[in-house]
Amino acid sequence: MAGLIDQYLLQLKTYLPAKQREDIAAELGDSILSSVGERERELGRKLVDDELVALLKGFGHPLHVAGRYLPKQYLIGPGVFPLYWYALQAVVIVAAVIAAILGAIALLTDPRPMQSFAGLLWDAWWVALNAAAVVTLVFAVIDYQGIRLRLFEDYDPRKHEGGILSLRAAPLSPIPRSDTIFEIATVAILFAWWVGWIDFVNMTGVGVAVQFTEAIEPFYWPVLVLCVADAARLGVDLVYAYRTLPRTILRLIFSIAWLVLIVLLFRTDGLIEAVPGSFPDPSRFDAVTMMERVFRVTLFVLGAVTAATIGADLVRIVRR
Amino acid sequence: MPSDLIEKLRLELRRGSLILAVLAELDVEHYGYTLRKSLAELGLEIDEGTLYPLLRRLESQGLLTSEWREEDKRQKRFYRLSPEGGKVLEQLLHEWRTLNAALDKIV
Repeated sequence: MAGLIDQYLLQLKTYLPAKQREDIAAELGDSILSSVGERERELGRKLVDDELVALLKGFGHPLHVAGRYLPKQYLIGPGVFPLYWYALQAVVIVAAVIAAILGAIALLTDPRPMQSFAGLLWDAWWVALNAAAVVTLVFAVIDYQGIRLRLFEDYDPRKHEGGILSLRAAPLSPIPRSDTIFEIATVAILFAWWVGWIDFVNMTGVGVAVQFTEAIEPFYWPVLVLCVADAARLGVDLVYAYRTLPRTILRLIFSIAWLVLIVLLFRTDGLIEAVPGSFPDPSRFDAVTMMERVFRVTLFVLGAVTAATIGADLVRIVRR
Repeated sequence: MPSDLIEKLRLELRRGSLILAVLAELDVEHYGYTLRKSLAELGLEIDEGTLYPLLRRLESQGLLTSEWREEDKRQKRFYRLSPEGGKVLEQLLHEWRTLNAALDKIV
């Protein structure tokens, strides 16, 4: 009988912190022996093994019992958990939206669409998993170190009054976060494409490689700067998901800048050319014209959407 | 109403009360086993897995004192309310009575 109790206590000790191990085990051992003694007095005989096993089971699994003596620990506490959960969702959604858009492009343009799409899904999964791990690590460090987040610390309802370019100006209306996430994903793809992370030359789908001509050069830095600045602005929208007058005006300025660039690009001739030596079959040379047309149609659609956004923001400003 | 929800709410309701009961009962010296028996006889069942960690926590907070002593040929750890614990108990009892009186009017 004592063997079973000793074995139980030995298992318990393996889960307990070293400093308290002997103390806790001794106290619990006494409690077990007291319970055994009481039960034996009730029955008028010694406990058989099965009865002792049932009694020990009543005390609980050693791991579970030991767990109650340990300080309550968590990776990310309730103080920052809502923000963590939101950031995690945003990261995963952005990864999913980017994967969906790139997947659609792959399906439409790649000569081996399914293979390319499957590869993209796998990459998207890894990107999302790694991003989630990084977000979790960052918030775990914030929580562990007790870092105070200014977002919470500086909150003051009175500060919603005015202030040029203030984030806290009086809210006009909420911004759906799904819209912001979609916009961030779009800007991210544009950025990746613009700097060459997405290979433009292989996207004709007819085996002819095309590239931008030198005519694109004056647009390179303006587009790049706008992408980065707009992404930062959208990041603010993601955290403070409501429109304010200053931020609506800021978005209007960005939209106008985008529209100007789109119109200038639209008016520029000869933006696309075939990569030298990539078109042995002269009958396929039309692919350049086709891609130029696709590019122009895309610009037209983007221009129309941007103009509509400008109109909507103007209405908001007038109606505020 | 799901039974696990009721159980969760019941545990929440009991949690604070258990501390009060343990502190009050340890006005007289007890070791874990007799304390548990004594509380059970008064109508408050508490399992070992809850009681012993609670005793240690209250001791680490300075509300209880403890010492190992031999009784019935076995070493036992005896607990008793500390002077600081006595003051805390007094304030908690006041809070408890206020809450109780308010609840009596509400329900």
